[in-house]
Amino acid sequence: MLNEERIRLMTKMVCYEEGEGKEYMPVKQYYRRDYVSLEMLKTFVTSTIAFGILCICFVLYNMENIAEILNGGNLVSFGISVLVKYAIFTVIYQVIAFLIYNRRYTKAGASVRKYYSALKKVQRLQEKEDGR
Amino acid sequence: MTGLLELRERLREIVGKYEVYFIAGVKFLMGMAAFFLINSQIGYMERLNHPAVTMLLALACTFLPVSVMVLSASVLVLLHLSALSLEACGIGVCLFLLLFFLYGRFAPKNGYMVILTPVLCFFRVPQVIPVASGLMQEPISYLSMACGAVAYYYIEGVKLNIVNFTSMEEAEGTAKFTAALKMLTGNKEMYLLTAAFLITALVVYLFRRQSMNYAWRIGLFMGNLVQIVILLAGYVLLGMPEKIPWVILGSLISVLISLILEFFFYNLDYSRVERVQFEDDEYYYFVKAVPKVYVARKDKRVKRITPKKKTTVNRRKLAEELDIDQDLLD
Repeated sequence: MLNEERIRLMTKMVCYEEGEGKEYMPVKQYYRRDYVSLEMLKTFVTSTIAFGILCICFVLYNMENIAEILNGGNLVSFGISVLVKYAIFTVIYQVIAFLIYNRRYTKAGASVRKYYSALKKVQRLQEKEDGR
Repeated sequence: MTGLLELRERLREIVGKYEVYFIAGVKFLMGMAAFFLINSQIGYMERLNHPAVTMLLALACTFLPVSVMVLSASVLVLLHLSALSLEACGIGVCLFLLLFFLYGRFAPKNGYMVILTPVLCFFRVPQVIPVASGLMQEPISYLSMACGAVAYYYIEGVKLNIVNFTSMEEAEGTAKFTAALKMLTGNKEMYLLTAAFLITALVVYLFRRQSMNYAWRIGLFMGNLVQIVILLAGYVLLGMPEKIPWVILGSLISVLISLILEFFFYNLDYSRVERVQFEDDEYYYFVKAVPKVYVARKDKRVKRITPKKKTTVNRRKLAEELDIDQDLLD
């Protein structure tokens, strides 16, 4: 005999898994700290690449003056200023990443909770059916 | 009004019923518009500048996620630029990578805005994008409009400054790079439009989040007002008064479309507002509940009240039917 309530719940769960759950369920496989750190690490890599691209653009833009900058003797101070800019750039991006991924984890928690409560209900219904 | 509400319910029902086809249709149209515009504007690679390519790409994107459309459009742009000059293509690669690494990673699901912004920029009426975005999305998504606008102005810049890239002299390689970068960094209109978009979307968002009656409507009007002021002032300061009629036309379209969006997604009945207060162990709640306007669809049934046609039977026919002699019926 088919249990309509269980089927309804299971359909809802599959819909969730295929839709919103696709984004949020992998998030909940981690602890908050692990998830946020991992994403911040990825952001560090991407922001470093982005800074590299910006540097290339800067060099291309100032192609005529670049020889002057390099031969001017101020190479150390130039290097330090680049490093300081890189540090500021990275820190800003890390803060943004921290805020965004922390919020996303909270959102994922609220979203997945409903799914798990439905899962428990299905389990209970299944046990009831087996016990009969 | 009731008729309109009924129409809304019917439309919702139809869209809900054929959602898969509806989304596919929207994606196909967007893909067609985007790829066609790219080919028509910077179709430097002749093999790709063909209606069949546009059609095939749009068809493929119909069944794939919208981010694939963004990727295909970017690749198409880069291929065309590579046919023009490798320097323009190189800067294009840098630009797209920057946009992806700096922003695309945080909000990968905003492909629609990234595609729609340049398409509407081409038609000179992009003003609806920030207002719609402010109404429907969260602030993290707003930068996707900026990405779209930057991509559009780069393509436009290459098209307008084509002479800088077609020079054959080898020594001018670095000059081409510098020209491509200057075209981007020196484009004041791009800064104006990007700033106007971001400020408008934030204004709309701030107003629509308020707990006041008609929050969406006030938000959309304020957003359009702020946008029109910024753009008008900006174009006057930049010495581009020829753009002003387009700003006004775009804002009118924007008001119209945002009113339609409000009607479909936020139609509340403020005459039946309920305010309740209650508490639990930790908080005191002040709740304002506004019911949605909803009209049940009229269930029309046609009931015929015209009487059935009278059939007259004469004696002979009746006798034949009953298989008796006619005289017996007297």
